[in-house]
Amino acid sequence: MLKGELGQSPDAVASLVERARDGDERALATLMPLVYDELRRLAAAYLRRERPGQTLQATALVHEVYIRLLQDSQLAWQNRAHFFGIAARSMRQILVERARARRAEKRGGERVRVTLDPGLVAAAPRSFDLEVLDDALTRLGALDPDLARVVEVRFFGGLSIEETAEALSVSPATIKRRWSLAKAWLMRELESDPS
Amino acid sequence: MTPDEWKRVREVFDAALDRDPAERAAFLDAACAGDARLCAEVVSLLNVHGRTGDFIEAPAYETAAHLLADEAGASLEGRLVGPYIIRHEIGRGGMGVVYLADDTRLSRRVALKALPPDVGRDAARRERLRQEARAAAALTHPGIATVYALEKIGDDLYLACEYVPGRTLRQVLASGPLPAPQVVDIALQLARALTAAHMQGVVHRDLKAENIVRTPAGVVKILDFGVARAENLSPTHLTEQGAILGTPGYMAPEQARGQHVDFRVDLFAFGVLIYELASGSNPFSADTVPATIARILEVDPPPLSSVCPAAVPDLDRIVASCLRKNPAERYQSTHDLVADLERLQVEVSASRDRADSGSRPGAAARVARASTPRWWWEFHQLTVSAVYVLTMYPAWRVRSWVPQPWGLVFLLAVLACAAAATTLRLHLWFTSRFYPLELRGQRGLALWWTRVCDAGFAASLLAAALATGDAHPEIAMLLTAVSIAAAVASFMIEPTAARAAFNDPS
Repeated sequence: MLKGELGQSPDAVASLVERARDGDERALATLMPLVYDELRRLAAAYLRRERPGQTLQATALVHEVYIRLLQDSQLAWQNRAHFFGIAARSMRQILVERARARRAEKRGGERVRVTLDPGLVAAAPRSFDLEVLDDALTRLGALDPDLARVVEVRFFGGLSIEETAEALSVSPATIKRRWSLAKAWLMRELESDPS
Repeated sequence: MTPDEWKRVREVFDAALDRDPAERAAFLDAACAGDARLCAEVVSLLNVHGRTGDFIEAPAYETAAHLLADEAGASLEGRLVGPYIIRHEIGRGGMGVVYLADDTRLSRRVALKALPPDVGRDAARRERLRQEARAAAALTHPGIATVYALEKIGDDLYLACEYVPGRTLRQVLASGPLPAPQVVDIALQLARALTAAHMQGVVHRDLKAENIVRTPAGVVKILDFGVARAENLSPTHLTEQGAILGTPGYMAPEQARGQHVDFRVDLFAFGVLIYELASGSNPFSADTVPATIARILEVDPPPLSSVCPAAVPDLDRIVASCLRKNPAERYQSTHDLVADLERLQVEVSASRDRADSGSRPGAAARVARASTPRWWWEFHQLTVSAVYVLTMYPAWRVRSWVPQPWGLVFLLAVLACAAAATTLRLHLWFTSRFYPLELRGQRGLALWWTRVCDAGFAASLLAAALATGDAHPEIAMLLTAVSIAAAVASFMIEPTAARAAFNDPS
């Protein structure tokens, strides 16, 4: 059933992931929209409450996409990690596109703020502009790609410290350090942003 | 920053984090070895690091779920949800979407709030919300929108509340500040509603202009009582760390500090709200949330009467008491607040009645305005300006009687001083009438120059009087009189009027 729905067999997806990891641009180009579409569909389905009993919080979307796209295909762990990296990038793209579209829909082009907890305001900027964060992350990527990568995988991919360590092939301690510095750097950028 | 410099920042930052906070300063001194830029960058990042808290800790697809939800077309309009038929969306906020709905069981109209999915799915939050809703549902007061039910329909939570048609105070405020009698009326209604809730031990904690609706009949109702706070509740770890709840512009200092809060936070928010209704602007609002919080913690807003000429002096005192930084200095019971407001309302309506009994319409406004020290101060500015302008005519005549070139010097000196002093005064008058919040700063800027011009004006007139005294004693007397009057007005009357109007230190 899944096969027909996705238009790609899990094995084909697995081979795409492997080829993409080896630097095959065309494989990556085929894989990206696949992941992107599946993520969008799945996120929307969750929010439309099609799946009672399952929670968005408890299930990392990216994991779910992985399971749906690859099923039981045995991927080497490096490939699995690579897949998560791709998924995180897709998630970033989806969310930022949506934020941009929302702003365009609104009269006056008001920016969309993401509130970490609805209605909650705290001394730390718990509410921020996703587009501004995305811009800041792009600047961080120019300064230090390693740090930006960690943020992308952790924040947009929703992976834990350990999973991120696995995905980026470095130790969890290193990820923790990079994560601390990246967060501080980004928050400072957001605080100095006039909007 | 070059890649090498950044690499160094990273190393020092990581190493500093590994150390005990107490040892960091010493470590940084050693590690930066006189490189001030490096040191500044690391210190700045370490400072922010201490405050990052939960920043971007939750995955983006959770925090930005609403962006995806839109795409899912999650609108419920026209659908049947449990026993409710959804009519249309009436509001949308951080805590979910609010619909106007019909309750088919009781055929009554309700405001139905679809709470964010994650609230419904988190057992602890759900339980907390249920407790709050139970307490709020026990409140029955005409000034409080009743909570009917907290319903779990399918996987989601809905809060059914009394539907209150009308405009929120935020919408009311969009057309500017309200006249004093209306402010007092709203204040009294709100204070009575708060009393009813506080007596039952229910604190709103998120009172704001958006949460209060005035019906077309003029009844004021508070929305989201009790539940505003519960809806905002984050997963428990957040509150344990003392996360701050509430809307920044209305947040009491103790709330901003994450300290224990009680009913007195509502009194603080009430004070801000009344200030805003009377003056048209929130006394603490700043460009950013941290700046707003800093103002709440540190800045005492100017007295209401100094930003709002029409304010009643007693309201000034009531609002000031609510806005005390220390909750122990605020009203210690909402009853006392109601009692003060009731007295004030009697006074306000009595003065209105007095004015109404006068034959001319609009007399009330004139009486109210003419009686304030601020009005006298404004009047003083206009009068002095008029006298200066009128003095130009005798000055023009006198110039030919004074031996040249002193005649021309005299005329130009008087003209320059009068022009500058008049312009400054008219500027202050205009600011006072139309930009009251900026008056304090503008007065500070203009004060010294006005004094100098006044002194120059008086001195020039006195000199001309001496020079023409022999030939034209009557003109000399006039000039001397104007000169003395100008000096007295500038150095005695004006400071006194300003002291009365603005509570200036003497």
